[in-house]
Amino acid sequence: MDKVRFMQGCAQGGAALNRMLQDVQTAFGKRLLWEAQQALRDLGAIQDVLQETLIKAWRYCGDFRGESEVFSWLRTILQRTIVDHLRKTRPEVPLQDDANQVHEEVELALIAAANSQAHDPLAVASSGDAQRLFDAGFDQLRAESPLAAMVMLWVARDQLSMEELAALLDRTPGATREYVSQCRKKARVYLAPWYRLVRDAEGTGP
Amino acid sequence: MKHDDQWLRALAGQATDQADSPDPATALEARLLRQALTAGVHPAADLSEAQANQLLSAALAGAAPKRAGTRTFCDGCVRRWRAFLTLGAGQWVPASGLAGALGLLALVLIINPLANEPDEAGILRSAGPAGLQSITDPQPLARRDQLALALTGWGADVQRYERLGRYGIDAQFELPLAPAAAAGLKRLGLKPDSAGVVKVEVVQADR
Repeated sequence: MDKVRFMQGCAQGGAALNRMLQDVQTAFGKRLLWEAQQALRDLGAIQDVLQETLIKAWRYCGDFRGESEVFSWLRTILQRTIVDHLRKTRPEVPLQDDANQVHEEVELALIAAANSQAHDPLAVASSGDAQRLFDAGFDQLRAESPLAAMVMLWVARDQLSMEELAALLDRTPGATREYVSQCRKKARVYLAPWYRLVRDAEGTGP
Repeated sequence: MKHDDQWLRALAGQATDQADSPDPATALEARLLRQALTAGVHPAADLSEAQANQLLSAALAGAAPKRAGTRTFCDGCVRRWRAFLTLGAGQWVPASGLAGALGLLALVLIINPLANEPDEAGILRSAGPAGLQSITDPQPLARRDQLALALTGWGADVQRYERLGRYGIDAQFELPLAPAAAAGLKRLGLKPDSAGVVKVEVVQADR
Protein backbone atom coordinates (compact mmCIF):
# COMPACT_ATOMS: atom_id res chain seq x y z
CA MET A 1 0.00 0.00 0.00
CA ASP A 2 1.26 3.43 -0.94
CA LYS A 3 2.15 5.56 2.10
CA VAL A 4 0.88 8.74 0.52
CA ARG A 5 -2.52 7.19 -0.11
CA PHE A 6 -2.50 5.88 3.44
CA MET A 7 -1.81 9.35 4.85
CA GLN A 8 -4.35 11.00 2.54
CA GLY A 9 -7.08 8.54 3.56
CA CYS A 10 -6.24 9.18 7.16
CA ALA A 11 -6.31 12.96 6.76
CA GLN A 12 -9.63 12.96 4.89
CA GLY A 13 -11.38 10.78 7.46
CA GLY A 14 -14.94 9.54 7.01
CA ALA A 15 -15.50 7.25 4.06
CA ALA A 16 -11.91 7.68 2.85
CA LEU A 17 -10.62 6.49 6.21
CA ASN A 18 -12.98 3.55 6.07
CA ARG A 19 -11.76 2.63 2.58
CA MET A 20 -8.19 3.00 3.76
CA LEU A 21 -8.84 0.52 6.55
CA GLN A 22 -10.26 -1.96 4.06
CA ASP A 23 -7.22 -1.45 1.85
CA VAL A 24 -4.97 -2.08 4.83
CA GLN A 25 -6.74 -5.35 5.44
CA THR A 26 -6.50 -6.35 1.79
CA ALA A 27 -2.82 -5.45 1.54
CA PHE A 28 -1.54 -6.54 4.93
CA GLY A 29 -4.26 -8.58 6.61
CA LYS A 30 -2.70 -11.95 5.91
CA ARG A 31 0.76 -10.82 6.98
CA LEU A 32 -0.55 -9.30 10.19
CA LEU A 33 -2.52 -12.46 10.84
CA TRP A 34 0.64 -14.51 10.35
CA GLU A 35 2.44 -12.31 12.87
CA ALA A 36 -0.34 -12.79 15.40
CA GLN A 37 -0.37 -16.54 14.76
CA GLN A 38 3.31 -16.72 15.62
CA ALA A 39 2.59 -15.47 19.11
CA LEU A 40 -0.89 -16.65 20.02
CA ARG A 41 -2.73 -19.93 20.00
CA ASP A 42 -6.22 -18.84 20.89
CA LEU A 43 -8.34 -17.78 17.91
CA GLY A 44 -10.30 -15.28 19.99
CA ALA A 45 -7.07 -13.68 21.16
CA ILE A 46 -5.78 -13.49 17.60
CA GLN A 47 -8.95 -11.77 16.49
CA ASP A 48 -8.80 -9.38 19.42
CA VAL A 49 -5.21 -8.29 18.79
CA LEU A 50 -5.87 -7.86 15.07
CA GLN A 51 -8.97 -5.83 15.77
CA GLU A 52 -7.18 -3.71 18.35
CA THR A 53 -4.33 -3.16 15.90
CA LEU A 54 -6.75 -1.91 13.24
CA ILE A 55 -8.50 0.32 15.77
CA LYS A 56 -5.15 1.82 16.79
CA ALA A 57 -4.22 2.17 13.12
CA TRP A 58 -7.17 4.41 12.32
CA ARG A 59 -7.02 6.17 15.66
CA TYR A 60 -3.33 7.05 15.41
CA CYS A 61 -2.77 7.12 11.66
CA GLY A 62 -2.57 10.90 11.90
CA ASP A 63 0.76 10.38 13.69
CA PHE A 64 2.16 8.39 10.77
CA ARG A 65 4.67 10.62 8.96
CA GLY A 66 5.89 8.14 6.38
CA GLU A 67 9.33 7.59 7.92
CA SER A 68 8.80 3.85 7.66
CA GLU A 69 6.75 1.63 5.41
CA VAL A 70 3.08 1.32 6.32
CA PHE A 71 3.45 -2.37 7.06
CA SER A 72 6.41 -1.80 9.40
CA TRP A 73 4.36 0.80 11.26
CA LEU A 74 1.41 -1.58 11.51
CA ARG A 75 3.61 -4.46 12.58
CA THR A 76 5.05 -2.39 15.41
CA ILE A 77 1.51 -1.58 16.57
CA LEU A 78 0.62 -5.26 16.37
CA GLN A 79 3.73 -6.31 18.29
CA ARG A 80 2.99 -3.80 21.06
CA THR A 81 -0.57 -5.06 21.19
CA ILE A 82 0.71 -8.62 21.46
CA VAL A 83 3.11 -7.60 24.24
CA ASP A 84 0.23 -5.98 26.15
CA HIS A 85 -1.96 -9.01 25.58
CA LEU A 86 0.67 -11.48 26.75
CA ARG A 87 1.44 -9.40 29.83
CA LYS A 88 -2.23 -9.30 30.73
CA THR A 89 -2.91 -12.96 30.16
CA ARG A 90 0.42 -14.54 31.07
CA PRO A 91 2.32 -12.41 33.57
CA GLU A 92 5.86 -13.71 33.57
CA VAL A 93 7.76 -14.12 36.78
CA PRO A 94 11.51 -13.64 36.99
CA LEU A 95 13.59 -16.79 37.02
CA GLN A 96 15.67 -15.50 39.89
CA ASP A 97 15.13 -13.99 43.28
CA ASP A 98 16.63 -10.75 44.58
CA ALA A 99 19.85 -12.56 45.44
CA ASN A 100 20.17 -13.63 41.80
CA GLN A 101 19.45 -17.25 42.70
CA VAL A 102 17.20 -19.28 40.44
CA HIS A 103 13.94 -20.05 42.22
CA GLU A 104 13.88 -23.66 43.27
CA GLU A 105 10.48 -24.36 41.79
CA VAL A 106 11.55 -22.81 38.51
CA GLU A 107 14.68 -24.90 38.43
CA LEU A 108 12.72 -28.07 39.15
CA ALA A 109 10.15 -27.24 36.50
CA LEU A 110 12.78 -26.52 33.92
CA ILE A 111 14.70 -29.69 34.69
CA ALA A 112 11.46 -31.64 34.40
CA ALA A 113 10.71 -29.95 31.10
CA ALA A 114 14.19 -30.63 29.79
CA ASN A 115 13.87 -34.28 30.77
CA SER A 116 10.41 -34.77 29.37
CA GLN A 117 9.85 -37.14 26.48
CA ALA A 118 9.31 -34.27 24.05
CA HIS A 119 12.77 -32.99 24.84
CA ASP A 120 14.65 -36.24 24.89
CA PRO A 121 17.54 -35.33 22.59
CA LEU A 122 18.19 -38.94 21.68
CA ALA A 123 14.58 -39.55 20.67
CA VAL A 124 14.51 -36.59 18.33
CA ALA A 125 18.13 -36.57 17.28
CA SER A 126 17.82 -40.16 16.15
CA SER A 127 15.62 -38.81 13.37
CA GLY A 128 18.55 -36.59 12.46
CA ASP A 129 16.27 -33.58 12.46
CA ALA A 130 17.77 -30.69 14.40
CA GLN A 131 14.95 -28.40 13.34
CA ARG A 132 12.42 -30.71 14.94
CA LEU A 133 14.42 -30.63 18.13
CA PHE A 134 14.51 -26.86 17.99
CA ASP A 135 10.77 -26.65 17.24
CA ALA A 136 9.93 -28.87 20.20
CA GLY A 137 11.96 -26.70 22.58
CA PHE A 138 10.77 -23.44 21.12
CA ASP A 139 7.12 -24.53 21.19
CA GLN A 140 7.44 -25.31 24.87
CA LEU A 141 9.16 -22.00 25.52
CA ARG A 142 6.40 -20.24 23.59
CA ALA A 143 3.73 -22.05 25.58
CA GLU A 144 5.26 -21.30 28.97
CA SER A 145 7.01 -17.95 28.38
CA PRO A 146 5.38 -16.59 25.25
CA LEU A 147 6.70 -13.06 25.57
CA ALA A 148 10.29 -14.23 25.95
CA ALA A 149 9.88 -16.46 22.90
CA MET A 150 8.43 -13.64 20.83
CA VAL A 151 11.14 -11.22 21.93
CA MET A 152 13.81 -13.61 20.69
CA LEU A 153 11.97 -14.16 17.43
CA TRP A 154 11.46 -10.43 16.83
CA VAL A 155 15.07 -9.57 17.69
CA ALA A 156 16.40 -12.20 15.28
CA ARG A 157 14.01 -11.40 12.47
CA ASP A 158 13.69 -7.61 12.78
CA GLN A 159 17.27 -7.03 13.96
CA LEU A 160 16.15 -5.04 16.97
CA SER A 161 18.71 -3.17 19.03
CA MET A 162 18.54 -2.92 22.82
CA GLU A 163 17.02 0.57 22.48
CA GLU A 164 14.38 -0.56 20.00
CA LEU A 165 13.53 -3.50 22.19
CA ALA A 166 13.20 -1.20 25.21
CA ALA A 167 10.75 0.95 23.23
CA LEU A 168 8.77 -2.08 22.12
CA LEU A 169 8.52 -3.47 25.64
CA ASP A 170 8.05 -0.03 27.17
CA ARG A 171 10.77 -0.73 29.72
CA THR A 172 13.78 1.23 30.91
CA PRO A 173 17.14 0.28 29.37
CA GLY A 174 18.15 -1.39 32.63
CA ALA A 175 14.94 -3.39 32.87
CA THR A 176 15.26 -4.36 29.23
CA ARG A 177 18.80 -5.65 29.78
CA GLU A 178 17.54 -7.69 32.70
CA TYR A 179 14.74 -9.08 30.57
CA VAL A 180 17.17 -9.98 27.77
CA SER A 181 19.24 -11.83 30.35
CA GLN A 182 16.11 -13.75 31.41
CA CYS A 183 15.34 -14.59 27.78
CA ARG A 184 18.84 -15.93 27.24
CA LYS A 185 18.63 -18.13 30.32
CA LYS A 186 15.24 -19.46 29.26
CA ALA A 187 16.55 -20.23 25.78
CA ARG A 188 19.45 -22.15 27.30
CA VAL A 189 17.13 -24.29 29.37
CA TYR A 190 14.29 -24.90 26.93
CA LEU A 191 16.59 -25.39 23.95
CA ALA A 192 19.33 -27.27 25.81
CA PRO A 193 19.03 -30.53 23.84
CA TRP A 194 19.05 -28.65 20.56
CA TYR A 195 22.03 -26.54 21.61
CA ARG A 196 23.96 -29.68 22.42
CA LEU A 197 23.13 -31.24 19.09
CA VAL A 198 23.98 -28.24 16.93
CA ARG A 199 27.11 -27.38 18.88
CA ASP A 200 28.33 -30.92 18.37
CA ALA A 201 27.55 -30.56 14.69
CA GLU A 202 29.55 -27.33 14.64
CA GLY A 203 32.40 -29.29 16.13
CA THR A 204 32.84 -26.97 19.05
CA GLY A 205 31.29 -29.10 21.78
CA PRO A 206 29.75 -27.68 24.94
CA MET B 1 25.28 -8.33 31.55
CA LYS B 2 28.02 -7.63 29.05
CA HIS B 3 27.60 -11.07 27.59
CA ASP B 4 23.86 -10.51 27.40
CA ASP B 5 24.43 -7.36 25.33
CA GLN B 6 26.69 -9.33 23.01
CA TRP B 7 24.17 -12.13 22.84
CA LEU B 8 21.42 -9.69 21.82
CA ARG B 9 23.54 -8.03 19.16
CA ALA B 10 24.59 -11.36 17.71
CA LEU B 11 21.01 -12.61 17.85
CA ALA B 12 19.98 -9.51 15.87
CA GLY B 13 22.68 -10.28 13.32
CA GLN B 14 24.69 -7.19 14.19
CA ALA B 15 28.46 -7.36 14.12
CA THR B 16 29.86 -7.38 17.62
CA ASP B 17 32.47 -4.81 18.44
CA GLN B 18 35.88 -6.45 18.59
CA ALA B 19 36.89 -3.96 21.26
CA ASP B 20 34.30 -5.61 23.49
CA SER B 21 36.28 -8.86 23.21
CA PRO B 22 33.18 -10.90 22.51
CA ASP B 23 33.03 -14.25 24.11
CA PRO B 24 33.16 -16.81 21.27
CA ALA B 25 30.77 -19.15 23.07
CA THR B 26 28.21 -16.35 23.48
CA ALA B 27 28.53 -15.37 19.84
CA LEU B 28 28.09 -18.96 18.71
CA GLU B 29 25.12 -19.50 21.01
CA ALA B 30 23.36 -16.45 19.57
CA ARG B 31 24.34 -17.22 15.99
CA LEU B 32 22.90 -20.73 16.17
CA LEU B 33 19.72 -19.42 17.73
CA ARG B 34 19.38 -16.71 15.11
CA GLN B 35 19.90 -19.24 12.36
CA ALA B 36 17.15 -21.50 13.70
CA LEU B 37 14.72 -18.65 14.36
CA THR B 38 15.13 -17.08 10.94
CA ALA B 39 14.92 -20.48 9.26
CA GLY B 40 11.27 -20.51 10.23
CA VAL B 41 9.15 -20.87 13.31
CA HIS B 42 5.85 -22.62 12.90
CA PRO B 43 2.85 -20.55 13.94
CA ALA B 44 1.52 -21.17 17.41
CA ALA B 45 -2.00 -21.29 16.00
CA ASP B 46 -2.63 -23.18 12.81
CA LEU B 47 -5.55 -21.74 10.88
CA SER B 48 -7.32 -22.93 7.79
CA GLU B 49 -7.82 -20.49 4.94
CA ALA B 50 -11.50 -20.18 5.84
CA GLN B 51 -10.71 -19.49 9.49
CA ALA B 52 -8.12 -16.90 8.49
CA ASN B 53 -10.57 -15.08 6.23
CA GLN B 54 -13.28 -15.21 8.87
CA LEU B 55 -10.92 -13.84 11.52
CA LEU B 56 -9.76 -11.01 9.30
CA SER B 57 -13.30 -10.04 8.36
CA ALA B 58 -14.43 -10.12 11.96
CA ALA B 59 -11.45 -8.05 13.08
CA LEU B 60 -12.08 -5.49 10.36
CA ALA B 61 -15.79 -5.36 11.10
CA GLY B 62 -15.08 -4.75 14.77
CA ALA B 63 -12.53 -2.07 14.00
CA ALA B 64 -14.43 -0.13 11.36
CA PRO B 65 -14.70 3.56 12.22
CA LYS B 66 -18.17 4.63 13.14
CA ARG B 67 -19.76 7.58 11.40
CA ALA B 68 -20.89 10.02 14.01
CA GLY B 69 -23.32 12.86 13.89
CA THR B 70 -26.38 11.23 12.38
CA ARG B 71 -29.81 11.92 13.69
CA THR B 72 -30.91 10.47 16.99
CA PHE B 73 -34.65 10.52 16.82
CA CYS B 74 -36.61 10.78 20.08
CA ASP B 75 -33.63 9.88 22.22
CA GLY B 76 -34.95 8.80 25.61
CA CYS B 77 -38.50 9.43 24.43
CA VAL B 78 -39.96 6.46 26.25
CA ARG B 79 -38.08 7.26 29.43
CA ARG B 80 -39.24 10.88 29.38
CA TRP B 81 -42.87 9.91 28.75
CA ARG B 82 -42.77 7.29 31.46
CA ALA B 83 -41.27 9.76 33.92
CA PHE B 84 -43.84 12.38 32.96
CA LEU B 85 -46.81 10.03 33.23
CA THR B 86 -45.59 8.51 36.48
CA LEU B 87 -45.06 11.92 38.00
CA GLY B 88 -48.34 13.15 36.62
CA ALA B 89 -50.19 10.14 37.84
CA GLY B 90 -48.66 10.59 41.26
CA GLN B 91 -50.12 14.08 41.38
CA TRP B 92 -53.54 12.79 40.38
CA VAL B 93 -53.62 10.12 43.07
CA PRO B 94 -55.73 11.24 46.00
CA ALA B 95 -53.70 11.16 49.18
CA SER B 96 -55.60 8.30 50.71
CA GLY B 97 -57.32 6.77 47.68
CA LEU B 98 -56.61 3.08 47.35
CA ALA B 99 -58.30 3.05 43.98
CA GLY B 100 -56.03 5.76 42.75
CA ALA B 101 -52.95 3.89 43.91
CA LEU B 102 -54.14 0.78 42.10
CA GLY B 103 -54.71 2.89 39.04
CA LEU B 104 -51.15 4.15 39.22
CA LEU B 105 -49.87 0.60 39.57
CA ALA B 106 -51.85 -0.42 36.53
CA LEU B 107 -50.47 2.54 34.63
CA VAL B 108 -46.87 1.60 35.46
CA LEU B 109 -47.54 -2.01 34.48
CA ILE B 110 -48.87 -0.83 31.15
CA ILE B 111 -45.99 1.54 30.52
CA ASN B 112 -43.15 -0.79 31.57
CA PRO B 113 -43.50 -3.09 28.57
CA LEU B 114 -43.23 -0.01 26.38
CA ALA B 115 -39.90 0.74 27.97
CA ASN B 116 -38.70 -2.76 27.09
CA GLU B 117 -39.43 -2.14 23.45
CA PRO B 118 -36.17 -1.10 21.85
CA ASP B 119 -36.58 2.46 20.67
CA GLU B 120 -34.93 4.03 17.67
CA ALA B 121 -32.74 6.27 19.74
CA GLY B 122 -29.08 6.50 18.93
CA ILE B 123 -28.90 4.32 15.89
CA LEU B 124 -25.93 5.31 13.77
CA ARG B 125 -25.75 3.62 10.45
CA SER B 126 -22.14 2.68 10.08
CA ALA B 127 -20.49 2.39 6.70
CA GLY B 128 -18.77 -0.74 7.99
CA PRO B 129 -17.69 -3.12 5.25
CA ALA B 130 -19.35 -6.14 6.80
CA GLY B 131 -22.66 -4.38 7.38
CA LEU B 132 -21.96 -3.71 11.03
CA GLN B 133 -24.38 -1.16 12.42
CA SER B 134 -23.71 0.82 15.52
CA ILE B 135 -25.87 2.20 18.29
CA THR B 136 -24.79 4.56 21.01
CA ASP B 137 -26.44 4.36 24.38
CA PRO B 138 -25.62 5.49 27.92
CA GLN B 139 -26.25 1.92 29.07
CA PRO B 140 -24.83 -0.23 26.28
CA LEU B 141 -25.12 -3.59 28.00
CA ALA B 142 -28.76 -3.09 28.89
CA ARG B 143 -29.49 -1.76 25.44
CA ARG B 144 -27.76 -4.69 23.76
CA ASP B 145 -29.73 -7.20 25.84
CA GLN B 146 -32.94 -5.35 25.19
CA LEU B 147 -32.26 -5.42 21.47
CA ALA B 148 -31.26 -9.09 21.61
CA LEU B 149 -34.59 -9.94 23.22
CA ALA B 150 -36.47 -8.06 20.54
CA LEU B 151 -34.57 -9.74 17.72
CA THR B 152 -35.07 -13.14 19.33
CA GLY B 153 -38.76 -12.36 19.60
CA TRP B 154 -38.82 -11.70 15.87
CA GLY B 155 -37.42 -15.16 15.22
CA ALA B 156 -33.69 -14.52 14.88
CA ASP B 157 -30.95 -16.79 16.16
CA VAL B 158 -29.03 -14.27 18.26
CA GLN B 159 -25.45 -14.45 19.47
CA ARG B 160 -24.29 -11.84 21.97
CA TYR B 161 -20.67 -10.84 22.52
CA GLU B 162 -18.56 -8.23 24.25
CA ARG B 163 -15.35 -6.92 22.73
CA LEU B 164 -13.21 -3.96 23.72
CA GLY B 165 -16.02 -2.37 25.65
CA ARG B 166 -18.53 -2.76 22.86
CA TYR B 167 -21.52 -5.00 23.27
CA GLY B 168 -22.57 -6.68 20.08
CA ILE B 169 -25.10 -8.95 18.52
CA ASP B 170 -24.92 -11.20 15.52
CA ALA B 171 -28.47 -12.13 14.56
CA GLN B 172 -29.39 -14.59 11.85
CA PHE B 173 -32.88 -14.32 10.38
CA GLU B 174 -34.50 -16.89 8.16
CA LEU B 175 -35.25 -15.60 4.70
CA PRO B 176 -37.69 -14.43 3.56
CA LEU B 177 -38.19 -12.27 6.61
CA ALA B 178 -41.40 -12.70 8.55
CA PRO B 179 -43.62 -9.59 8.29
CA ALA B 180 -43.21 -8.86 12.02
CA ALA B 181 -39.44 -9.10 11.74
CA ALA B 182 -39.33 -6.92 8.66
CA ALA B 183 -41.53 -4.30 10.29
CA GLY B 184 -39.57 -4.38 13.54
CA LEU B 185 -36.21 -4.09 11.83
CA LYS B 186 -37.47 -1.29 9.66
CA ARG B 187 -38.70 0.56 12.73
CA LEU B 188 -35.25 0.26 14.31
CA GLY B 189 -33.48 1.24 11.11
CA LEU B 190 -31.64 -2.07 10.93
CA LYS B 191 -31.06 -3.86 7.65
CA PRO B 192 -30.20 -7.52 7.35
CA ASP B 193 -27.66 -8.42 4.69
CA SER B 194 -28.44 -10.69 1.77
CA ALA B 195 -27.94 -13.75 4.00
CA GLY B 196 -30.37 -12.44 6.61
CA VAL B 197 -27.66 -11.45 9.09
CA VAL B 198 -27.92 -8.35 11.25
CA LYS B 199 -24.77 -7.20 13.03
CA VAL B 200 -25.12 -4.52 15.65
CA GLU B 201 -22.75 -3.10 18.23
CA VAL B 202 -23.74 -0.85 21.09
CA VAL B 203 -21.11 1.61 22.22
CA GLN B 204 -21.08 3.82 25.27
CA ALA B 205 -22.64 7.22 24.57
CA ASP B 206 -20.82 10.28 25.79
CA ARG B 207 -22.12 11.23 29.18
